[in-house]
Amino acid sequence: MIVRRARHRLLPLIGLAVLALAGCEENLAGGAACPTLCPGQQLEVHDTVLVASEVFDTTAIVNGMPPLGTETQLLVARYADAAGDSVISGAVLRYDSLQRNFPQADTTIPAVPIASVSTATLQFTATPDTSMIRDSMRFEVIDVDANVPDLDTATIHHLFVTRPALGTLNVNKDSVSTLHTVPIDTAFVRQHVTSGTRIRLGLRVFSYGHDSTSSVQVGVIPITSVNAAAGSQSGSSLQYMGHAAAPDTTDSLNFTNFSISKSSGGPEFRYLANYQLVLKGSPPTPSGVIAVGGLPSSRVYMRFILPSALIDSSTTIVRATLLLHQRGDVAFNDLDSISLTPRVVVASPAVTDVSKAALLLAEPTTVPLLAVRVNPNETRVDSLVLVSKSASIVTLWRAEGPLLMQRALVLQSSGEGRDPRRFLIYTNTAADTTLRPRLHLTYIPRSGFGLP
Amino acid sequence: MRTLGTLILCATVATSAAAQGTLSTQGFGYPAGGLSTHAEALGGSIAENDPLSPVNPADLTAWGRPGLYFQYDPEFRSVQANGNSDHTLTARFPMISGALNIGSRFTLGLSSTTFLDRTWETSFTGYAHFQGGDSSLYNERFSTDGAINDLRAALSFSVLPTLSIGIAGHVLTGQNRLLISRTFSDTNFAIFSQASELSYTGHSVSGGISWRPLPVISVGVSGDAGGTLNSFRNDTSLSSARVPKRVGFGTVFGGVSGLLLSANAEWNGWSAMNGLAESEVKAVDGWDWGVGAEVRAPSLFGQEFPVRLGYRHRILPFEANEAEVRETDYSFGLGIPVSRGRSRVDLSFTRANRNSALPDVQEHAWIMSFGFFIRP
Repeated sequence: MIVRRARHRLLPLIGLAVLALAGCEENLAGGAACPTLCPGQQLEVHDTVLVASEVFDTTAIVNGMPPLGTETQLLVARYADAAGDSVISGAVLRYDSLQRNFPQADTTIPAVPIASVSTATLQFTATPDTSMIRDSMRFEVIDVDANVPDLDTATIHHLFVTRPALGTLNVNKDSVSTLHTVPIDTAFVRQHVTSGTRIRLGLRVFSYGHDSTSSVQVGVIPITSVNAAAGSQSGSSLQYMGHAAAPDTTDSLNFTNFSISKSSGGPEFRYLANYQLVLKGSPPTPSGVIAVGGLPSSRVYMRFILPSALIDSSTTIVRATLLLHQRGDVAFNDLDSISLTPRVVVASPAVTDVSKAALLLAEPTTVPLLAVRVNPNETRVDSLVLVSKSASIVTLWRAEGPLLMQRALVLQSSGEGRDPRRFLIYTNTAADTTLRPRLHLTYIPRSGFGLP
Repeated sequence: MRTLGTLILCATVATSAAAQGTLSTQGFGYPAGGLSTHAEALGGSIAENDPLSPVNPADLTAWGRPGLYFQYDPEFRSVQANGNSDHTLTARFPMISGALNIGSRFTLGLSSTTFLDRTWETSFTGYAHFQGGDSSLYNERFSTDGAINDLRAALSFSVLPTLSIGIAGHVLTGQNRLLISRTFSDTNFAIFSQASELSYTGHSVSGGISWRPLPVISVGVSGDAGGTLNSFRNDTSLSSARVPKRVGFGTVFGGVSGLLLSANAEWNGWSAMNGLAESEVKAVDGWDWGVGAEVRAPSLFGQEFPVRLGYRHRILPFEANEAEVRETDYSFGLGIPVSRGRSRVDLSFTRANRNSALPDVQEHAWIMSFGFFIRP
């Protein structure tokens, strides 16, 4: 009985504890009496569309993207366009350091030079897009070496199209493989090996078919990669069977040369080794439009001049959408779409060369502006969202300030350097003013909410 | 060429937010503090004679021994307006206090009470329409959290066994943390968020007399003389006004065995705060009066449980949409002695009805109060 009385005594305390706990979790959200009792609780939302002349002070095309020597793959291609013309791209593979002596285990013995070459090949790995090939394709290797500066591509271009092929490889569509071995002139190789001179080869491709739309494209890995564990190298290689003059030595060996050439140019070209060379580029753009992509690829640099009252004040831009009118480019028909990607320029205002500023870009993950994935063949309006729930270029601009970062964007094609298609964007010079770029802004000035 | 200015489409004229969707928390907020749980249960009718309510500093003498007191007051509020209703819960800790005897005739008391509680939030959902015909669902929140608190240091002096006097200095201080946010359901919109903080400082003095002319009657009179009250945002002074004056008197009658009757009235000069607001929000002077009765309930478990009933009516400080807001309270409470009467737990339940001349707006609340009085 004593126990039961003790329990009874605890009941009121338990009840109180329950009541107290019920009042611990606040729930403040109301608003049923608004707007009667909340006349001032209304944000000032502005929605406006600015035309390009109010938005940009600079709109420039930067050609030749990606820069020579920075390609992730070397496009060797030939695209037949709808007009019966074509866009042609080749690769320059540079073997500035050749193996000219037989390896000796005993380094005290003089090296035995290669005296003759019996076979020579150029090997590279690439997977052609067989959907483009009608019947067959043919690779051609050309000597493109010349005593000119690295960036004198005009001379190289001239050699590419005027010199005869050192070797060819015909491949039928039904026997396409990933490893391609092009036999090349052994006399040419022997002469360079024995004379101590370098070899620089051009690689181009032809496509053959029963109609004029036959195209071909392959991507050659531009760099030599080294497997440290296995001690092996991979990449395009120049191979030849070398022979020594003296019969009492190891008189025959297959030599494999990987591309390890370095640029002799300035520091900005220090990575220049193998590179891609467009032999015949995309046709000129019509007036009033600018191209993003194509071959050689171009980017569009756009510098904004938005009012400081919007960017540098306490105003919050909640939406900024760049509206670009796209003119359909029917030169290359393809059902696949590619991306028109806005990239944030991180160059400071001290970088006045637009072509350099267009290379100094934030990583896409820093400000993840969404790309627009469309087919360049279409005529449409592209909406590039610059301020959204997931990313805001304005927040970055405001944080960095105008003295540290240019307020500029670069438009880039996802097919840059490896797709002939291009986005044709109407500019502020378009005859039809309705086709000019626009910026749709929605912003909210700082509220006076504070003291009642 | 179209310009920025001519393309503003959806601009609405903004005014500073003066209201918050309830009748009670208009302006700088709801006057939640100043009464102990014991006094709340009696409709505030013993405020001038209650040592636990930091109203009349002369009552500190009645603490008897050093002790501590703190209080928890959750408020369950419902607002009906325009056919809609809200149900909210605001948790408040409106008071903490303590007292210490200095010699046989002086008592020093320190307390912190909520002077004006500005804690509320409104949430609104609607559609925003933009150029080009697109629209997006959005949710908008305005919220504020915080209060102006009254820190009081008081000293009482027992002139006679039946008469004591007291004085107190008050520092008013506190913050309001303000937040606005608007989120759009369309992910192509960024979230708008604006946070800021207001702070307040002020001071005043108060004094009072507590007199027991007869063994069954106690009378208390006190008043506050307002000093300056300032508002700041960061280091920037925003506005300045006077702390409201107050004068009150009350009496407790114990002439009937087992029954205590009490009555209290006070006048608050809230209009002194009018200079503190930026908008046209208006504070109004008003009376606050209450009556109550405490009955000694039959003994349970060897302890006496006083049962309390109270009624209170007051004018709230700030008008709602230019209409005066009145509050009428009906309260009930208990006192639970602890540690053989040295300490006590007080409970009260108050039904607060708030109304104004505004049609279709009604506000009701249940305010629970838990007071813990501890004396070693």
